[in-house]
Amino acid sequence: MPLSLSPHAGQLTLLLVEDDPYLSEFAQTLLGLHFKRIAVAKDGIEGLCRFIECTPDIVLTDQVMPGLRGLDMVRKIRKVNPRTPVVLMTGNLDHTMLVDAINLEVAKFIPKPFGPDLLVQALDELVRRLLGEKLLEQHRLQEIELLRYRDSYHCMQQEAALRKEHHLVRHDLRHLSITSPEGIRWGVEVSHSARDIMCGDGYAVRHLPDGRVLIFLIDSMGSGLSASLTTLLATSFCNFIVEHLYQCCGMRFQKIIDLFLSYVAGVLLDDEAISCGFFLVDLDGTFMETAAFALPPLLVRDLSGAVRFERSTNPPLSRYSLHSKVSRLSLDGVADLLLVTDGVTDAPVTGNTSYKQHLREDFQASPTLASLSRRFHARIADDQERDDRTMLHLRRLDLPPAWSFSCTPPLSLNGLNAAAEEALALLKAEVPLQAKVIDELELVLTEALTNALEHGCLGLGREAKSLAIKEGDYDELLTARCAGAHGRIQLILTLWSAAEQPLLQVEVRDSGPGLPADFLRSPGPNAVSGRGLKVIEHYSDGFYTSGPGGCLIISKTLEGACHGT
Amino acid sequence: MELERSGNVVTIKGNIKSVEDSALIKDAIKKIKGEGARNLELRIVDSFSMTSTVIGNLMKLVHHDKVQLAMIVGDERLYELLDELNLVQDFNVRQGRR
Repeated sequence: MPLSLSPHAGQLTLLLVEDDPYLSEFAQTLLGLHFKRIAVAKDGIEGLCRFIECTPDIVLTDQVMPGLRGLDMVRKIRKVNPRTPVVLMTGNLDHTMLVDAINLEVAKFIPKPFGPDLLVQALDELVRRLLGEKLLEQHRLQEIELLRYRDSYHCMQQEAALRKEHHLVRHDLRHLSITSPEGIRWGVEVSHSARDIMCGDGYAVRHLPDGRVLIFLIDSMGSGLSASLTTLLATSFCNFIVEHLYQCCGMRFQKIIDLFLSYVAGVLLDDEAISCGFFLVDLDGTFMETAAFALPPLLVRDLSGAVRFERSTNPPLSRYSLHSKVSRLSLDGVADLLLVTDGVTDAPVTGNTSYKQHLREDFQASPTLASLSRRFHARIADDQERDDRTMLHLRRLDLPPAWSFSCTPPLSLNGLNAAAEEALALLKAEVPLQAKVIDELELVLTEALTNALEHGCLGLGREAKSLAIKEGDYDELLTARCAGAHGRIQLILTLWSAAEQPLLQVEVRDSGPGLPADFLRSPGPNAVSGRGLKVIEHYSDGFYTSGPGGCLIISKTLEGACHGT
Repeated sequence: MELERSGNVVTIKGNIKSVEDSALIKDAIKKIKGEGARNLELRIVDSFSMTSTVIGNLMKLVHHDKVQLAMIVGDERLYELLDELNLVQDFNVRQGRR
């Protein structure tokens, strides 16, 4: 064995603890050229101090020394550092000492007396092992760094993908009602929850220039990126039809479907299929044209509350789909329609069943999408393996009332307060309500009436109101404007009792120009106004705006209440 | 709704839901602010909600008047509303026992 150590020893520090000056000098001479540094101690106590000072990579120690013996020093070192390799030089290794040394994880033993070869060989093995460990550690740190980078990169990509998904989903009628020539208002609400950022469900609700509404709903079969890409492409194409082809050429419903079929034939893989549906709502003709491809059945409720299913008339769409059947559904006598994707119908329900078995029952009980969503979430069991879920609800806002109330309060905060109290008192007399519901309704009425007064009749914009609040003269401004106001506010409450749970609709009309579009957006982070509609949304089942003039229609299911038959 | 004041601590019992409730709270805040207070503690014992008028006044108090606000709410529904409106941090809201 040559008297040389691995060159990597030059990166390491050795602690030498030896009370024999001759042996200490011998070891320093032999090893000094190989190690980066040799710290020297002449007994165990000094050795411990040096260890703490210089944190060596290897400890080479004698066993028998005055004061603190070698293994006693190692025991104390282990409390500070359990890993540094130790080489023990001893002329007398008995059984007890050996067990002690093993327990203290002494790496090598060198029996005294020893020659230079033995010492160099023992240290060389340790140096090589340490080098391997260092390389492994470096590699591990590099891997962690790489993973961190990848993770942050992927997060950034996911956020960009989410922005893209939100950008492509268009709901032109969010909080906006549409009106038939007979003056009947309708609204569309959507509840969409994705399992992953890139999801297989998508939708579009587009208000066409001719007044019709095109609804598109898609559930790409399978999961992951491929399904979500198909959904993004299909949704984009639907938007393209509306924004470009339709606007410049106009077209029949069948033409839209044919174009879509032709487009997806070039997008889908051989083994890929999608469930989707196009629904063209025509309030002029009071009908809806539908082309549904393997979507779960459409639920339709008529004005008497009876619910029926309308099945899809086409199989799933594949690249080989050439033809489609279009059907027409009359909206005469229809109260509302529900479209869902299979993430809703297949959701697991406690008791090993799926939500499909409860959907009809829950829909019958729920006049609004918010109410149905509450029932859905109350039923579903394990939500770990959930799919993408979309529910789309088209409903008539003007329903034949089983009870109604109307008043025109004076234009003052006190006048509005009195009107709200009167309306609630009459409602309570008509239908028994829980205290919680009454409180929520009072709050909703307060917000809606105040909103109509400030922004409708008094013409206070968001900026003017914010400025007045900041200046501290808002109350004076309101009082002054009320005194000179000639506007009008009408409060209308109606009850619709055909669904199993009664639906209360609160309508607040004002003589103003209607809510500006920015009122439907969230206020800035430090804004002092603009949260009234958010509060209304939180404590109701949602709201719509309507025109002409200011008109807010708020819906609230009176859960647990019973009205009429 | 009932409102009690002790120094810079305002305790509200009952629901904050009407124009009158909003006016009472606004007056109390205005009074405290007028006395030069730099901090205010609002203890809302059991209200499930808060009107947007009160929210607007508190936003002004915190961001415009730079008054340090601490709010303790007893009803989880109010906490949820404030959380949904991203106001928990601005209003320094903590959930307390009723």
